[in-house]
Amino acid sequence: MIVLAAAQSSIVPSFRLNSGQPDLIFLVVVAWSVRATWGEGIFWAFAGGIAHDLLSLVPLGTSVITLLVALYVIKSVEDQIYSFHPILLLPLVLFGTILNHLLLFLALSVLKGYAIDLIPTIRYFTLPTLFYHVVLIFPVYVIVRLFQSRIAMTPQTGF
Amino acid sequence: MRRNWQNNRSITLFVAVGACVVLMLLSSFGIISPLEDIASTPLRFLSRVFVQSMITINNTAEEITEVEALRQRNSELERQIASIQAEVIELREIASDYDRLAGLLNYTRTREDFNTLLADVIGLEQQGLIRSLIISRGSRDGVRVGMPVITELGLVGRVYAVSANISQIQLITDQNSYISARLQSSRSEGTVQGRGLITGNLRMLYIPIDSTITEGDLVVTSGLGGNFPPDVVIGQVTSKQRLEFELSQQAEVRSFVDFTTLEAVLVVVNFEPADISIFDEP
Repeated sequence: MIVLAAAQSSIVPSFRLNSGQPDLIFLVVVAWSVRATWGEGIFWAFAGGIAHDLLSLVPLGTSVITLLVALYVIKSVEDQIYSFHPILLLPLVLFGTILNHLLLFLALSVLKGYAIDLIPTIRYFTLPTLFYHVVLIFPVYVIVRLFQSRIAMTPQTGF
Repeated sequence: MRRNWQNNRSITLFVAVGACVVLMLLSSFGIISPLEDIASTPLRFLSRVFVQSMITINNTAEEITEVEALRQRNSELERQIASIQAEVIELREIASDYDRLAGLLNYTRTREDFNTLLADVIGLEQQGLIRSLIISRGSRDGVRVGMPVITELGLVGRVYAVSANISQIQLITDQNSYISARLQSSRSEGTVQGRGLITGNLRMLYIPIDSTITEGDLVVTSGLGGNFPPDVVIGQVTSKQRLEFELSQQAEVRSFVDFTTLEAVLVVVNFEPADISIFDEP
């Protein structure tokens, strides 16, 4: 997560589309949580979110909330169906990204006093980010699955 | 059982989100800034390493792109230089042609008695004993055998053979070329013979023994014999030779014409050599 957070603040900005860029920590935590326990998911949500926020101007914990909510939705969906199909990542990522950005706007405007012009921000920041996330979630999921297989992590039922 | 898990999950989420909100507030008010600084130190270090790596990679990529662009620019400039050089050569040729033709034109103005025809030299025979050149005019242009060929620098030779569109010129440097000549200053007569050399070196023979020869004297055609019009410059005396047992003197004459670089000549078309063979004894 530390490496991802560092890459997020250094390498990823090189691939900006308008103002939008992929959020690697968000993608990895979402992809990881599909096959992880609730407790493990919370740990990674906190670790990734805090690492993410430490290198940004947003208040510490903003990203953690998004990741926790995304994790909760994943686990809730998993409970409702026999198995979680990776295609479900798509709406989840769309929802998570929008939620993440809404929280970000809220945190920045309320806690930091930033004035945010919503329509241009969505057009130039949220939509390109959504595009990146939709494109990248499946490759990230495949890589995370390979990584999880390598470390022979056995899925456990949490709580 | 499942409901219990969900309840537990909801409670955990609620607690975690609450913790996050508290964290956000503490962070916003700067209460945990020292802790944030300490925690972000390794992240910043790693981020800096990544940024430096990215800068290096970007610079390398840019340099590669620049090298390629410079290569293309270089080859483009080389092409332009080659094109300009070709143009310069062409313009120099034109300037050279202009100078040469202007010289010939000026000469024709000074010799209004000559009706001349401009001809390009298209071949120069310098092998063997014969010194000759081929010009781009022939009988269709009015060129006849025996007509004198000149430049603004002096006599070149005479037409030796003619076809429809080209003619062969016997140069005055040919060993079989004999021209009646006179020294311009002393008016002494003699005969200029070619020496068969590539250079314009000639020899003036049969100069009367009592004639005064001065180095630098101009040698011109005398017109005797009717083969050449009078007063056409042949060359300049470079040295003289007087042998006691000879009845005449000799002089080395050098033509002003550079026969190796001749490109255009004038054929005097209004001069027809006189045929004096009718006076020969049968």
